[in-house]
Amino acid sequence: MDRAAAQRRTDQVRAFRQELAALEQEGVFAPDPALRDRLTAHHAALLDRLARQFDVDTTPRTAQLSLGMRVAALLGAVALIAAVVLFFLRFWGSIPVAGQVALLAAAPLLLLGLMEYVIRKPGARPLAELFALVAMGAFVLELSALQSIFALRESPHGFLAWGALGLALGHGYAFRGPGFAGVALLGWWLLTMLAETTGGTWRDPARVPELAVAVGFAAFGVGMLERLRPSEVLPCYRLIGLTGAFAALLWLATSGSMNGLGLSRRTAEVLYQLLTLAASVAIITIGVRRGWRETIVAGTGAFLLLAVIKSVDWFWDWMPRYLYFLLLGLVALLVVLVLRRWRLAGRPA
Amino acid sequence: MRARAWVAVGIVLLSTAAALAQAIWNRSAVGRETVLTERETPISGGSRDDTALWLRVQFVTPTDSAWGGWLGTARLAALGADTTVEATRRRQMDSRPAFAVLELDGPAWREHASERVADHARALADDSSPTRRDSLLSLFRAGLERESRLVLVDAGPDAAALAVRYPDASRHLILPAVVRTFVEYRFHDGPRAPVDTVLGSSIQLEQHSLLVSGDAARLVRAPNRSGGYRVTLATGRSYAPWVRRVEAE
Repeated sequence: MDRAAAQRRTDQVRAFRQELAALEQEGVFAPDPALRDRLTAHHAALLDRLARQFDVDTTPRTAQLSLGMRVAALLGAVALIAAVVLFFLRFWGSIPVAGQVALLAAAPLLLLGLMEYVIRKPGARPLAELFALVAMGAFVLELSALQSIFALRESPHGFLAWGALGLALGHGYAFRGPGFAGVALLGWWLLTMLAETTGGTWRDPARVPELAVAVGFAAFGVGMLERLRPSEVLPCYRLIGLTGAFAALLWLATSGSMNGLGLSRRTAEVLYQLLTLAASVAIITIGVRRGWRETIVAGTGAFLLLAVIKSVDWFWDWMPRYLYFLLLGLVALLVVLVLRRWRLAGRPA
Repeated sequence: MRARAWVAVGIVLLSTAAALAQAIWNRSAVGRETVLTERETPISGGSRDDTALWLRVQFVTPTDSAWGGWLGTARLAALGADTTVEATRRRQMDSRPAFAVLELDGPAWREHASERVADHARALADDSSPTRRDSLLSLFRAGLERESRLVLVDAGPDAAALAVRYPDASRHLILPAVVRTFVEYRFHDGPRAPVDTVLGSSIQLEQHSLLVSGDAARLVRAPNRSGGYRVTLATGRSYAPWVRRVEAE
């Protein structure tokens, strides 16, 4: 069992308790007192164990507080990363090179140690995630500063190292923040490598935008592997992958001359518009069937963006503005109606 | 600590070791050494929030309005850039790794300086009296004497081949660079005049600013320094540069 499964089980117990209380109140069902005591004791022990082992939220109030802590931790991480970078820049001029290297190498390790210490404390997951993000920031600073200190040749492999650390923290500790950063950085590195192997350079990863489409959908494919653990990290692959793939597809659909297949601008634009349309519908379908919220959001976003872009191309110049926005509203309404139909189809008869 | 923490620590340690190994390997042999002055390596940046001392490698890039810019289509093709009109239409920007050859105080600099003086004299000829023109020209020459005498003379994909072609390390610096090509539009006079599309190019050093620390930084920063300074710039096995020495002039 991972943390997401533990949270699902906790939510089930909470819902079960509420439903049992409602049934009792409505006079439909009244369990035997001995059975109720056994159930209550079992659930109390279960929730206590899950809370201790996985730091799950056992009440709506703790869930709200957790959300608040996560938001505060994210903002805190951004501010602390800025503090670490500016602290180093403020003093590195007066530190000898050996001291600079020692300081740079020690910072991410100290922060990782702090994260490992904090995560063992009850209810301190958001704080541990904050230290994980700051450790990543310190690691980015370390490699960038080492490159400046020793005037090392520029290379894209820093993205590999940073992405690997993000994924190690995402998979190892079920942290979504480092997970998102890890997938994005590793995807970028992969794109630069593919750009090199296809005759370009790593400095120009957008040279063949089709590669970004391939890398994005490959990341989404990884996010579909439900056996991959922990399950909290899977949405990172799906969301980052789809964002990258659809961004590249929409770019190709509107700037066909950038295509890397040697197609004419017009042919490429029509082809990629059709592909974006087909891919967004397919992604929404997958998202609805699997119950993946971020997948539905990404697919719907791409579909609506394509609709807006194409409607501007087709209608903006010759149609009255009110009619244009009416048409746009009707397209959005159509999407809502289709999604509603799917939603109703999912309900029990 | 658990295994998951060791994985994260391992990634940090391995990456740090790789970066340091790269630096040690580069500096394990001094390939070339060139002595520059304050003109070529002025102090760059530095503020209350960034206390590091950087020396910026300044150089002159000749200009040429031909297709491919000063680098020319042959050099760009050698770097792997497609310079055909069709490719330029399809892809308006490209970048390629390269090595730049910078000549110090040589024929290229003298040609550049005399061209600039001649251009300036032509510009002044129309609207200045002879006395005023001479005075402005001498001021311009004095300005030129403070500018960098490093001039870009060549670029190529293979540093070793360039080192063979330019063996005098005291005169020619070979540094890692990035060559960019781009489309330029030239507008002619008149509303119906045609617009020329030209392939341009530019070159930038990978590390245009070099970090200086310790005694060298103190010497450069010294408030009572009367003259300039001389910088011994070395490049190593991977042609990555570093400041080896700084001396007062």
